[in-house]
Amino acid sequence: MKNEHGQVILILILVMTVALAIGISVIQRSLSDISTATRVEQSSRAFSAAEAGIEKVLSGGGLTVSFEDNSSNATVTQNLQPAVNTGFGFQDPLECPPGKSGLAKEEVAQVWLADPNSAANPPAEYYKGTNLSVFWGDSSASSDDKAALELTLIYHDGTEYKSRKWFLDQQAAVRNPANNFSKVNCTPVTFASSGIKYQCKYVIGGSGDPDGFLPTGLMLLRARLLYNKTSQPFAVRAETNCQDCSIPPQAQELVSEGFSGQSKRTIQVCQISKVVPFYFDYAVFSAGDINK
Amino acid sequence: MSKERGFSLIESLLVVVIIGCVVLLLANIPNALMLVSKSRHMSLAKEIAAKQIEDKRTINYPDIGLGSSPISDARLDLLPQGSGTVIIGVENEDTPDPDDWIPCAIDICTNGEAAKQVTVTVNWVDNNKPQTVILKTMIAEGGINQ
Repeated sequence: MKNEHGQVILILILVMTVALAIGISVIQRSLSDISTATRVEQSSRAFSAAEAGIEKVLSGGGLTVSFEDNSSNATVTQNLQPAVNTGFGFQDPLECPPGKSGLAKEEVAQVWLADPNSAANPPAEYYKGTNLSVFWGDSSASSDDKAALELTLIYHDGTEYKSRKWFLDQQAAVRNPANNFSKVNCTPVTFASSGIKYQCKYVIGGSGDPDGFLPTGLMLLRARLLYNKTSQPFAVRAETNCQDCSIPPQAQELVSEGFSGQSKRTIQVCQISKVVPFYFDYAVFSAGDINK
Repeated sequence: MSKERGFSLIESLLVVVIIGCVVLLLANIPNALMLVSKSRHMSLAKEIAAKQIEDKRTINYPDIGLGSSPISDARLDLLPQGSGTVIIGVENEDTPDPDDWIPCAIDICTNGEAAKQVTVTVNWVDNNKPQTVILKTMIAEGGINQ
């Protein structure tokens, strides 16, 4: 009988232990819930501050925002692409469109050679080189996937806008039907900085170009890949090693970091300079007006 | 037999400990349940506030009027005494007219940017205590979604 009394206590302790465990877990759960909710709120405040940072820079303001009464703030980092060449030396090649891996067949890429942010008409000159290297095609693509390139250079000769065209094809001799493009002898080029291998390089305005030097008043270069089966890269690079031979920034990458309490949220935005719509080429060369 | 009449010291201590634990649990569980409910309300309030900002971003910049307006969101009914306001811009403290609003506080838009401050406030009551979630951001001309 004495032993049985002890059993009651054991069972009681067991029951109490289970009840205690359940109770503690409920309390712990509620504490972690409230902690999570607080963090989520801080995180939202940080995100809203980061968005405010982006908005402020896009509207021409400074790189910091601070809502002191809401204990949130944001700092924005601005990266221009390509970075402006401040001194002598070659600028990194610019892949176009920025941040994209390539151009599909007949897709148009645009490179600003004048200052895209200039309010003047015509826009202020920026790139003043007499020649420019263009790179196209993916050298790792299959051997029957060789792209041709159509280039349109828009420039302002002091009185009116004019254009100059190049039609470049490494396979011009064997295209069927014949396209009458200029035959280009291509050797693959690799840039160590980007690691991208191009099928072809051509220097417009270079010594091998029958059209001679590039004119002054350079505005835009538009490129279109033809015949390619897969998306292939296109890039330009200033060929001359001089101070005014920097291609203007075509895009800016904004990285905004918002802070609130212990939370940090980051937003990244890429803003590409104004892009002329694809029907621009047809408008320039149409005989009459183009109506919607 | 005489020993069996009373409780031993160990038994008494155990009873005291057990009763203590039970009292502790009973005292804390309502509080814990209240915290769970509070965190749920806090998350919901944050969702409502974030939705308001997203909605404002879909409006053309010139059409975003200045001033204060109440939030209309069915989920506010899920919050005890839930209410909220969206404030676009800030009241201009430099002018005597209190209804004179400017898009952005001078100390924030230092370069006169074309941007409007957005302040979303959601209020509710938890356990007779007023609670608030405030989100602040900016919407600029030519900015995100514009």
